[in-house]
Amino acid sequence: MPDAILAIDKDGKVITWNQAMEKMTGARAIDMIGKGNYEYALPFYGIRRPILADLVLMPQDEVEGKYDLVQREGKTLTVEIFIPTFGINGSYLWAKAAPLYDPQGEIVGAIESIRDITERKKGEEALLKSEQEKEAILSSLKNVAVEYLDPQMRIIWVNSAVQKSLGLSLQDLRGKYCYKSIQGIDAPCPGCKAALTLQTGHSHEGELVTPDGKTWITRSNGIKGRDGQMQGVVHVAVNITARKLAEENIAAMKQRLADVIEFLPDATFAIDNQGKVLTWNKAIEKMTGARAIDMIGKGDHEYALPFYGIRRPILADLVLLADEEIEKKYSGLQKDGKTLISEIFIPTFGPTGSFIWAKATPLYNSLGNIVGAIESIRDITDMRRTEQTLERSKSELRIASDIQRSFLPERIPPVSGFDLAAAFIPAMEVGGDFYDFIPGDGKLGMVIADVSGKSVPAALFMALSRTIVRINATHHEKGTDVLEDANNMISADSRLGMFVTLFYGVLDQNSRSLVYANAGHPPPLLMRGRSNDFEELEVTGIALGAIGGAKYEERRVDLSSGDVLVLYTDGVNEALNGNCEQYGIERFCSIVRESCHLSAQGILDKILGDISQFSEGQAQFDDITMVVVKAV
Amino acid sequence: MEINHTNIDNVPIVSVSGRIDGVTYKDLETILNELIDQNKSEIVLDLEGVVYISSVGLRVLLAAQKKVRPKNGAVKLVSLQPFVREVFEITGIIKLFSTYPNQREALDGIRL
Repeated sequence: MPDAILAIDKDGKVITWNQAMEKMTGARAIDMIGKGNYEYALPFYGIRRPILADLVLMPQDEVEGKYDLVQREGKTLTVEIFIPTFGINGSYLWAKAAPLYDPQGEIVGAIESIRDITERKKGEEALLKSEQEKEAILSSLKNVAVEYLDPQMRIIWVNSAVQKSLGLSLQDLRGKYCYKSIQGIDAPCPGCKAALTLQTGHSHEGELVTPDGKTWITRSNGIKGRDGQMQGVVHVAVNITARKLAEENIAAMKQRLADVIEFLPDATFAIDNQGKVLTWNKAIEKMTGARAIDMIGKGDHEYALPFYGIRRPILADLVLLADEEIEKKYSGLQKDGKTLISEIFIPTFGPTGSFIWAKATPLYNSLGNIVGAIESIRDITDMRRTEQTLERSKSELRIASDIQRSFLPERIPPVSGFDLAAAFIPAMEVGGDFYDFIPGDGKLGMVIADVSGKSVPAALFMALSRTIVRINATHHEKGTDVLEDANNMISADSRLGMFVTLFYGVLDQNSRSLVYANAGHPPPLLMRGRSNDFEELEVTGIALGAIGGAKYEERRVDLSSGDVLVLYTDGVNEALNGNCEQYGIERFCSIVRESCHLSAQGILDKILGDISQFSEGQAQFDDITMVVVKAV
Repeated sequence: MEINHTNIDNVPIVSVSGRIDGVTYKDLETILNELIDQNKSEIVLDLEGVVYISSVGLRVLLAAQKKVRPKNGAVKLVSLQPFVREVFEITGIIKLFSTYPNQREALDGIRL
């Protein structure tokens, strides 16, 4: 379209208003021609004012300084202005004005052509804005280096990240070789993707280690001209040195962890959260016979095969499940936070099945997310079996203890003129001491005995001895006969040197006497009520079972009212306190003397109380047995 | 309990010290059984350092004595401390052993 043109004479009257002008302004030529007084400004500004054509007619010094936007070339003026009042949203107009001359060369008017450049101007502005935005974006990438290089790898533009890291401005860098300014070398870095792109014309990306030791991820895109020639390359690089270092550290840590796991004494393996085996240590190789090289990397519950013979979830898998799911399906598990502990019997593992203890716990990444699980497994079969055996023998011991207690008389048969009490406190479940009463006509046989040794062997020997003595006591009248026969029987059965010290005495209610024989037993104490003095009922023969054919003597003591007789085993006088001192006979006699006014049971209780006080909670290491007889 | 074992003129001399009780008797029993298994029928047992002997201890000595007797051997006891002697005496088991004040006399007794 031709430019809109108007011309004015020296007086400012319109002399030309062409068709294009009519179209641009909507003002018709017939209404304009001949009009002065800035009539022609009205379509543009809405007011009467000078326009560019008027400036042509003004003296030069008047125009100077007032219209900065106006460019002058000789007498010709050009301007680009925005007129807010022209067009719907205002318009950018380009105008050019020049003088009109007459044939004599005198200025007679001015001509002005006007072009609406709004569209072009808007396009330019948009382009500028987008350029600025682009630069702003690229420069805001603090950790990304962006370079625009020419085909010789000279810097055209770099973003602020590059400028900052080098401490140089864009002006300093422009035109310099990229590798020279950044790395201080005379050729592109080996493997440089920008160089590769310039060479091949294609985009390239990948990791690059620069001579300064930094690691980068880089990408290069070629910029081609209309002719298809490479005009430059945009090179983007992200410094991943720190990340790389962290990755290497993690890898080193993983290796160390794997080394540690490898040598853990417990069978241990780890899986990732896809259920693939990460580690499988030596101990688990040994336990299962499955080798690490066959296991590592395997998923689909491969690790369950050595244990169960089938693919199935095991404890490590449960760790990866949600809490509710675990609760629902495996309520028997012990839980400690996210750690699970289980003890199970696996019939398919080992020749006769195995008791397995296992503990599994999640593996976390640095963000605290679960990335896998580790499980330790211990074969506790031996321990369980031992416990079972122990439990069985414990319960057997309890039964033995009950049986042994049933040997003791339930109650003491009464014998007139005498008050009796007895106690048996074994040091273990079963003991080697015993006491017994054998009732007769107006008489009461009393036995107290101590079998050599403790626990089950002693208990067995005690049962044998008790029966033998009891049978002989019922058959024989004389105590010496009882002991001699009993000794011969026991000796015949005692190949292991087992023996029993035994006191056998018979209380006679009519003669108020005691006839006794003592087979190597600690002499019973007899406190005379009248004097409070003690007598000992001495040994009259060797311990039963020591040697066959031994002879025993019989003694007789008369008893008066107030006399106290105490039969005991060495667990009494040899009871120890914390200083390894023995309770001793003297302390024993004192407490009997102090409590002799009490009943037989009262005296017995006092003695037991005194021993317990003396030993101050020290473990009782021998059986304590006593029979107290008080003549009333 | 401590046990030292030497030989003089091919006669084993076992010296014991401490307590011979339900806890320690096993060691002494093992040594005596080993000697008997080696056909040593004469054994000198020096009890000078023994402060206590329980009935289990007596049983071990009695068992040893019972094993060597049929081979015309003997377990000879040396240097019984008063408490130990008392236990041997009360039970009457002392009658089954020869006792000596020192090792020399025990060895001389064997030579006779």
